[in-house]
Amino acid sequence: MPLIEIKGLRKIFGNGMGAVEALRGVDLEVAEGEIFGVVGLSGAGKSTLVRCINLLERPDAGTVSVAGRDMTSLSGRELRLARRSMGMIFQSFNLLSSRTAAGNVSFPLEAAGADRVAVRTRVQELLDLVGLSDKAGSYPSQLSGGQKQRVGIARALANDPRILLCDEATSALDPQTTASILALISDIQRRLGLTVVIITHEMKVITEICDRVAVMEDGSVVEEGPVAEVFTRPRHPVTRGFVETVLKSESGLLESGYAPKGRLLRVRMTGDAVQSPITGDVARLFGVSPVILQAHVDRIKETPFGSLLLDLQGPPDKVEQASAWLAERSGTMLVETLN
Amino acid sequence: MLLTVQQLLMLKKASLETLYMVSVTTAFTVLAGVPLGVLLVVVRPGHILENRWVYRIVGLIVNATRSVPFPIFIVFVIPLTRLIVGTSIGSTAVIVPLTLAAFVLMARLTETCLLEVPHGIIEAAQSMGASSWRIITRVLLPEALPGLLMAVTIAIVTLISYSAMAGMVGGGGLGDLAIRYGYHRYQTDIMWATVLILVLVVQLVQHVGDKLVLRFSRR
Ligand SMILES: Nc1ncnc2c1ncn2[C@@H]1O[C@H](COP(=O)(O)OP(=O)(O)OP(=O)(O)O)[C@@H](O)[C@H]1O
Ligand SMILES: [Mg+2]
Repeated sequence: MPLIEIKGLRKIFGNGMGAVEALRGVDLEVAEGEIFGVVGLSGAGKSTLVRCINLLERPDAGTVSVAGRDMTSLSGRELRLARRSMGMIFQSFNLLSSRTAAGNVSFPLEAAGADRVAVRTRVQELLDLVGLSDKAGSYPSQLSGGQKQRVGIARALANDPRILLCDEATSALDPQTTASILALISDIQRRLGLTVVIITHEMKVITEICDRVAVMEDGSVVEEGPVAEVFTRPRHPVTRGFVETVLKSESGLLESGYAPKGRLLRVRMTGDAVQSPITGDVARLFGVSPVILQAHVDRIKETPFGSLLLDLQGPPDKVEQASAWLAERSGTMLVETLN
Repeated sequence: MLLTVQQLLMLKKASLETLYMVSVTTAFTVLAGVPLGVLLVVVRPGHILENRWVYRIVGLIVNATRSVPFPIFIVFVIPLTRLIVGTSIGSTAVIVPLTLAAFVLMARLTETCLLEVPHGIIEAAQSMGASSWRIITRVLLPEALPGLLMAVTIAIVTLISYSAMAGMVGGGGLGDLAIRYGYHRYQTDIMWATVLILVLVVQLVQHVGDKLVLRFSRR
């Protein structure tokens, strides 16, 4: 059973002429222990979706169930209790400016009714966990963005939640700090066995730590699946756009006037295939000359990922055989002929 | 400018009367005004205890109270003052109209301060399962504390100036002394003395207020 199950979720803001349909019937399932990413352009409805999970936003139709319980049917008190099993972090951190880092982390513990001594030790533990024990007495105004988000994470984890919701948690941070916060989230996720939902408009965040991804456009999920799969075989134009933000497309190259002499091939590989010497192989086996126009090796979470743009030159029948040979090695590999 | 012993005694008495009226009224004003201000904020559309009718009705009453000029207000509430204090004359009696006029001001000032607390912080507290009461007492009020201290300072200074009209109903005080002797009897020396005291007191209040605001500002 999925830990989070969203069915037919709809949310409309405003009414009459000015009404905005932020969610138009979203179905999603998030399994226990996975890092689930939701990516989409600004205004796609990502924040609204994640805010419906802990009911900061009340959906107009559809259901959100967490661990088998329908969140929309809970009473005020039950909802407050349920929310304690879900931590949330925000783009703008949303720390209490009047409290120190330690004070911010103790807030949810106080709200849950923990006693003073328990609060003190737990706060220390949490600040250690996020690597901020030396900043316990600092006020948010004295912390950098990355440190503030660490406090945010410690605070979100205070009541031992099963779920961590992240709404653009790294969007206000520079690339390096983003990487360190993502590493922290992924480390904590593994250690505590959390289920994480990450909202972002950066594909990089998805490829960095997510297991599965949903792509949203205009209030709907247009594509969904394991990250490596969505990344190697993007179907929807919006998804292609996002993949291209990480992986340069061939269109720029062709527009700049490059005229391929042979067959233009895009080869995408994941897993072990990345390490296979395919350009050398085709040259040796078929006597063709693969000209490498682009090469990109990266990883999607822990899986290696490679992308090659080849201009396969040589006698047409050999080129044909070579590309058929490449295409046959599919499974971990995707070959597209572009001309 | 030299003052006679008798004039000095009058100044002393008036100062104590002002001190009495302003301090008691300030206490009531804060005790009543801050909760009313909180109410005005939390029942707003989109806030934690959204309630359109309460918001409209309370807003209407506050506005109505604030539109009446203070001297007229004193007369207006005479029956209420009699009911509470037993008499409508004297320093204690003045505290009733003074409080009623100032606590709605305090409520509006409180409202303005609390609205400046970023909505995201309130949502973060909600996401942690905090109750509305906890959000009010542990999020809204502490976050707005510097602004609230500034509001209390404004309220005190306003009360000092309002209390000058206490003379209308025999409340005494510095303002009354200045009006009676300086304005009606042309004893300008005593008028200047009271004005000087008032200026110094207001300066002092503002200075202490500013210091406190600074002490609690963390943004
Ligand atoms: N409280 C609100 N009142 C009215 N409209 C809203 C509200 N919240 C969101 N919307 C609208 O709903 C749509 C989806 O908003 P949402 O914030 O979910 O988008 P998003 O995908 O998170 O965008 P971004 O990447 O910019 O954060 C937008 O058109 C937005 O204007
Ligand atoms: Mg958003």
